[in-house]
Amino acid sequence: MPNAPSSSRVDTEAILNGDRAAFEAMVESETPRLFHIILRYVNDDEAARSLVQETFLQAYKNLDSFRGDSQLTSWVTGIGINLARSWLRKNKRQQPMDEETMERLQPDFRFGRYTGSFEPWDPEQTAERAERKELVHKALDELSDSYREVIVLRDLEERSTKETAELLGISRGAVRVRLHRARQALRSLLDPHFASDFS
Amino acid sequence: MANFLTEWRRRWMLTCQEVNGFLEAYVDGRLDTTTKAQFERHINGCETCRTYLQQYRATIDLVKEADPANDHPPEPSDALVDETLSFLRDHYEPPTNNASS
Repeated sequence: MPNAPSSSRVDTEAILNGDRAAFEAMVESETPRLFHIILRYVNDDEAARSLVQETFLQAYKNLDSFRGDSQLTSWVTGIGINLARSWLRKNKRQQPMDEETMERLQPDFRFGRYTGSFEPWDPEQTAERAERKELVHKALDELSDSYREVIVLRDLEERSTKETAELLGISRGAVRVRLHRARQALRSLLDPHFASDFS
Repeated sequence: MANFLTEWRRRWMLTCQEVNGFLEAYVDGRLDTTTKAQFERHINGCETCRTYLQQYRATIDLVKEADPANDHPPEPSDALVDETLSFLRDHYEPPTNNASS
């Protein structure tokens, strides 16, 4: 369910000139997309609804600080992401992992070969759908925000590497590295639950 | 001879570690034709890397399956838009020229 930014109903010039109706037209067209991205960050329906409202309010109050070096909708999304991050910092139930733990969840190699062996996964046989979702959310919650948000933007939002880099203010290379490390860490966390052969 | 073998190996064989380093680009469809062929040649002959790739892809699929947005229709109801507009109208700064009235 990708959510490509849509700016078809966004009249940036009118909005920046203080046209409230133009701003509200943007609210109407952007609310669904913004709701999904914030929901994917916080995984809490009520919080996401409230953060959407706060995002647009902050955007409205700070329109004069929009510099025009990105689309207005991307700027609004950035505000939403920052609010979602703050919410997570205040409400996240567990300590996100440190870099040392992250490193331990990456595969080990010796002379160019994996040091461990892997059993094929069969998630549909080893866990019910609800249980699979719970395991994945638990694993995602263990990741630090900088890794988790790359998963949200690339794998759930299906944003391009370029868009993700722009939204997070990091290089495309950093997006790719974080995405790979985050997926590998998730793989390690999920492996005990989904390997089809426990022998 | 040694140089020839090194070059031959570089062109034709990737190590498991190199294959791992290409996973993100491979899944994203970004590998050039030559590297993709090297990658797939390795995967076809290496059960460990084949299984790891299967798990790597399954991880992505599981994340997508657990997407919180799956529980919501693609377009959230108009209620959310109305709620947001109503919230904003309650919080807009009053126009400054009305301050004295």
